[in-house]
Amino acid sequence: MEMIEAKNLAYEYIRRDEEGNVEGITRAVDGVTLDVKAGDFVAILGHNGSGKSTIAKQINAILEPTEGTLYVNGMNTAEPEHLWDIRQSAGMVFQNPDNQIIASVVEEDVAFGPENLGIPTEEIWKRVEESLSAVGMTEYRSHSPNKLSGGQKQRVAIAGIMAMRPRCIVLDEPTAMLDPDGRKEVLRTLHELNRAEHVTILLITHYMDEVIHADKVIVMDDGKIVMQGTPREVFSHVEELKAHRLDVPQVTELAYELQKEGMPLPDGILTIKEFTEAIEALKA
Amino acid sequence: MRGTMAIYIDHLNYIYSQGTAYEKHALKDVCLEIPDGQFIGLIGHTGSGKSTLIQHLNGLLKATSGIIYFNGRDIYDEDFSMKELRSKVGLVFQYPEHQLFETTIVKDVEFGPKNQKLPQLEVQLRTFEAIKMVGIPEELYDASPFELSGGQKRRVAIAGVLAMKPEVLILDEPTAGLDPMGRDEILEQIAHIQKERKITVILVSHSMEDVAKYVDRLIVMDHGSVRFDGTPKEVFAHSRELEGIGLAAPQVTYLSHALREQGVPLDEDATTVEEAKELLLAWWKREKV
Repeated sequence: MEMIEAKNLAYEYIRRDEEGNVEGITRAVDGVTLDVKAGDFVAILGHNGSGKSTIAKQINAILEPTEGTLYVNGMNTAEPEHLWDIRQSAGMVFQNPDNQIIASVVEEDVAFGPENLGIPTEEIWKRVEESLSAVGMTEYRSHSPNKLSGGQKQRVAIAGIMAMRPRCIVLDEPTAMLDPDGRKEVLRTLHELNRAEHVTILLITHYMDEVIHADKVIVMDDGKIVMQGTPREVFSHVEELKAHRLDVPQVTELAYELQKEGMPLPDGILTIKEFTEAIEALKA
Repeated sequence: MRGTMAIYIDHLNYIYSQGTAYEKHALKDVCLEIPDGQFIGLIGHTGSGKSTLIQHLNGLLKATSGIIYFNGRDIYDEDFSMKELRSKVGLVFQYPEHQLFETTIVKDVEFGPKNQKLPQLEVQLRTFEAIKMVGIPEELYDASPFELSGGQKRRVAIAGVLAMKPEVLILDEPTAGLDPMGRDEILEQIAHIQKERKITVILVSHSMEDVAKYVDRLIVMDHGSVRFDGTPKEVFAHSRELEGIGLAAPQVTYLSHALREQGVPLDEDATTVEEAKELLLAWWKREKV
């Protein structure tokens, strides 16, 4: 079952001058065809301005396709009558946690979404309970959000989405403003939701080390998909990634540099463990 | 001693909202010597006191107790000019592009030196020098800053501070939200400016990989105190303690540990990819013989 299905998807931003005449057109998404299966953990990489955030907004039906079609959980995002169902199926988490938290108590913030969906009170509290537990924030339920760390705030934001029972969560650089601990917390939470609750995860990020455990990595440049595959397949192409203004994890880069010097290491080493195993094989 | 240090911080304490329920001891007895021309990384988890500290360095916050000397002079002296301090200690905030406001790049960058009441020619010279220094191409000088990419906007904002010719440049997470290449470009430029102008640079960062690659000295804050202060290699040798305070060492440092544990005799722990490469090649050469 496909959670997200894009066919020749395009989006054009139209810039106008003060009189409303068209000054220029930027094709931010340019012919993207993409399938994300239900339950997958997919990461999207790409430099600033490559079109990743525009696609995220299209999935959430904030932006309509200029060309092509986009189905989310079987619903066409171009049809206004599906708008609310689409947003409930595909929840969004943004970069700045402070822009997403509205209530003065954590559990009220998490309850805000389901309240707006008109869910009965008893059911809301059940969902708040489950969502906070899923992101590991139950002990903070009666705290004020502004006393939390960045990572904790993002987990509350994710709980708020979870309380709406989405099939899919789209996260647009959720860790860009967090310290190393906060980043780890958020990533751990996402993998846990994906594994235990089978929520489809679409993670947009600039941090290469966050995508090595994804099922699939998609690289975008200039509005197009330029590379895709498993993390190992994608990270085996170090030079190509750099040409797209991206990077690889330090151990991957190190293995690649050593290969160039003639050390016989396998392609696409992604973790410290894989690296030490490759070295062990050299010793023997 | 105090006379030769660009900045000398003597038993600095800062307490937020003293006497209220929200009282917080944000800086605890901080003592630091910052000489001229050093490239310093300042790290610490959210709420460790980094931002509070840098706001003291250009006088945005006044210490609850303790003294800061700038070029040998007590900045809390009545006849000390805070205005002068702020033109000598340039502070680039997080997401500085949000503070761009003028209609052209040149106008935005010249705002600072103009405010310093410098002669028109000097203002122009500094403006163009600063824009050039951050690598904005000439054809964009009269463009609106809002037409630029995220990385370019940020560089224009940094140029605005550089145009005031600060002796100390403090940047609060200058690479947050940029793609890897944009990150490298900005850091390369900052390192280049630091060398060229021989100024002191304090870089606040969450990326251990970045600080390991660029800085001479690393200061680690935790709960308002300075926890470690040394070269990146000295500091990252304490990877366990760093994890205890919500930080980490670069990935290649952990790799060095893991390799040693399995009996690969590296001469030392690496903190950058380049170093790790040299160490492993040296090992490989010995191993092959």
